[in-house]
Amino acid sequence: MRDKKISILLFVSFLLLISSFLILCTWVYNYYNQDKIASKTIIKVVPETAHITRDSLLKIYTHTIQSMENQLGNTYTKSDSIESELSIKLDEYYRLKDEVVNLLKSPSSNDDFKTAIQKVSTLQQNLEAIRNTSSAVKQENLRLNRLITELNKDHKESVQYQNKGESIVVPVVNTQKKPGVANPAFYASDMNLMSVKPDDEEQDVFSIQRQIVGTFVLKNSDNVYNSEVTIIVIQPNGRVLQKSAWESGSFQSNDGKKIYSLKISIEKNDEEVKKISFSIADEKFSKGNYTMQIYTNGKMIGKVTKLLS
Amino acid sequence: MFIIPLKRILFTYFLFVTATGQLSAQNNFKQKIKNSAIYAGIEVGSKGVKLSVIEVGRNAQKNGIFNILQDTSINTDFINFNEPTFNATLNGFSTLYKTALMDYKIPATRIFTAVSSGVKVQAEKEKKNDWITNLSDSFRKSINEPGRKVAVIDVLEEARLSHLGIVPESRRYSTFLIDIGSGNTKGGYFPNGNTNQLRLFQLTWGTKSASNEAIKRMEDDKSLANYNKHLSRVLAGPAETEIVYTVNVSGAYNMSDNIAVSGGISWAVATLLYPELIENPVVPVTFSEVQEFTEGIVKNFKNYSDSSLLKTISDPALDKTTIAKEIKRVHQVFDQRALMSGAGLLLKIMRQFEGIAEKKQFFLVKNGAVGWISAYVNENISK
Repeated sequence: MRDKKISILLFVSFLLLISSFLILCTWVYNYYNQDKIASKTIIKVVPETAHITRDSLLKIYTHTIQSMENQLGNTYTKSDSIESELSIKLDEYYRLKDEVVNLLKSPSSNDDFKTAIQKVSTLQQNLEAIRNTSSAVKQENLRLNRLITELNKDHKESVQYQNKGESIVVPVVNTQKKPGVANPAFYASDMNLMSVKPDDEEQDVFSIQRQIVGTFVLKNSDNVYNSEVTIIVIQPNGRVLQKSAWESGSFQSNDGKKIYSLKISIEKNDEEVKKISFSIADEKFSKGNYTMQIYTNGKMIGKVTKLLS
Repeated sequence: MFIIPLKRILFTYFLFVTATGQLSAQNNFKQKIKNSAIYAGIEVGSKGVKLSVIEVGRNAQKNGIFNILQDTSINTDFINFNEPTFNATLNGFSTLYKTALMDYKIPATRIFTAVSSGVKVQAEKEKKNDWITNLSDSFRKSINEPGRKVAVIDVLEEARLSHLGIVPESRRYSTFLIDIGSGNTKGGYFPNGNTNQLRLFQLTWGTKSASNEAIKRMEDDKSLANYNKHLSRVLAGPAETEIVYTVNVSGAYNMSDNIAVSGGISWAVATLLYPELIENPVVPVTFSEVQEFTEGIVKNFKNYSDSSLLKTISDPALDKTTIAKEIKRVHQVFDQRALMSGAGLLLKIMRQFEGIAEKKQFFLVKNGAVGWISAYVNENISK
């Protein structure tokens, strides 16, 4: 009976030993396997990181587009800085494009590839639009700068003439809006008056003492509609010198009714900057100050006074 | 031959003295053309006798350039065809001839005399052609020139000469000239690029005839409002129908860039619209300006008095006294109703040329009366 109990105890001990061994093996196995899983996880991290990178690229891409659109909206107000910003954006665009291309070298699906192409194409179109706008604004900037330069130049000249007592030039920009049309802007510069002897043919027929010749440069930034330039030449005695009864008349200026010497039509297809000259026969020429006033839409856009002899 | 009342003799004497005095005071002409010769044309018209003094250059026939130096007229109402008006006309005719001959020292060979188409048409209508013949014969006797030619001009020729005398050469083939008279309207243009062929334009409506028709329809209500209502109906009815038809038939719209309107009403409208242009014989206007004027003389007639108009003139170089006199003269010749009638007719005619796409340039000619006789003289110089 006692031998039977010992044998049972031995058997249990043996089972415990085997169980311990198994547990140890299992632990070792598990330990080994855990290392393997860990290494596999690290490998999987790579595609996960790429996906995150693409998302961030998308964000950058979207941000770039938005900022460019904002830039476009502000083009007219910040036109001076657009050129430098545009080149930065262009660099950014090409960098982004390269990144997208590199990324697309290992696409996870064909859909991603197509989407990327579409986005790049859209980006190019937007950039092209910005380039065009930028170009127009740049030209406008140049024109305005030229205008300012000439204004300053004319102002200096007028002061010089004034000091010499020869003539006074008063250029005025007319930005009066004509109903139903774009905002016109007329500007007269390089105004001059002189007296010349009439040509032989006219001298042969008429007793004309002198021809009063006037010249000026008319800048018309609005070439959409036909218009007229009204010219007044005032003689030393204060009377208006008229070209002829059929070409002279009266008009309503902002300063009241005035007699004009002649009118010149400005066609809608005329150049933006046009040199205009005219001559009026002066049968009773007398030495003294002659004044030329130039009007468009009832507003004076230029005036010059010159001593003619 | 006729028994002349004392009043008429004194009146004629007064005109003689006045005309002679005026002309004598102004015989120092300021010539514009070099080496020019001075000629005179005397015309017997419906209302009176006119003298025009012109200078013509040495190449007149080549370039057609002449310049009107002076014009004077004496009112005699010849087309009444009665003894007093006959004698007044004869005296005026002779007086102006002698003035040109003796005061201006213009040789007889450089003085041209003619009878206008208005006299001819009226004489034919009343079968009184012999009055014209008698006038010519009496005139020859009076000036002691039996061989003196007194040409009688027909409507077409007068319209052609008026165009040549009024419209400058630079606008000759692009201008449609219309003369609004008191009883009718006539004019024309040169469609074929030569001055021998004039496309004649004629209307049976004039300033007075339109007004008379309106007055005829007024019945008992003689108010201005009633006159205006009936005048509007006359102008919008039979007058407009004829104007539209005649202008279309003339083909002038497509052939003309400039529309020049002469006659008394043109002088009146031009003077009241642009008093500051008193010295200009021609005034450019727009359709809207005349439209505004036509409405203005009905609603605010006081605005067109000399005192009101002078307030609008700020140019110190202008002679306000002379302008005021001229405005008063307009009001003496045309009262409010006559102005309404004439301006209304003028506007109806202008309306036919006021296109939306193509704009014509309108001109009001003030001294149209001297046009044809001047051109007549110019054309007859080398004949």
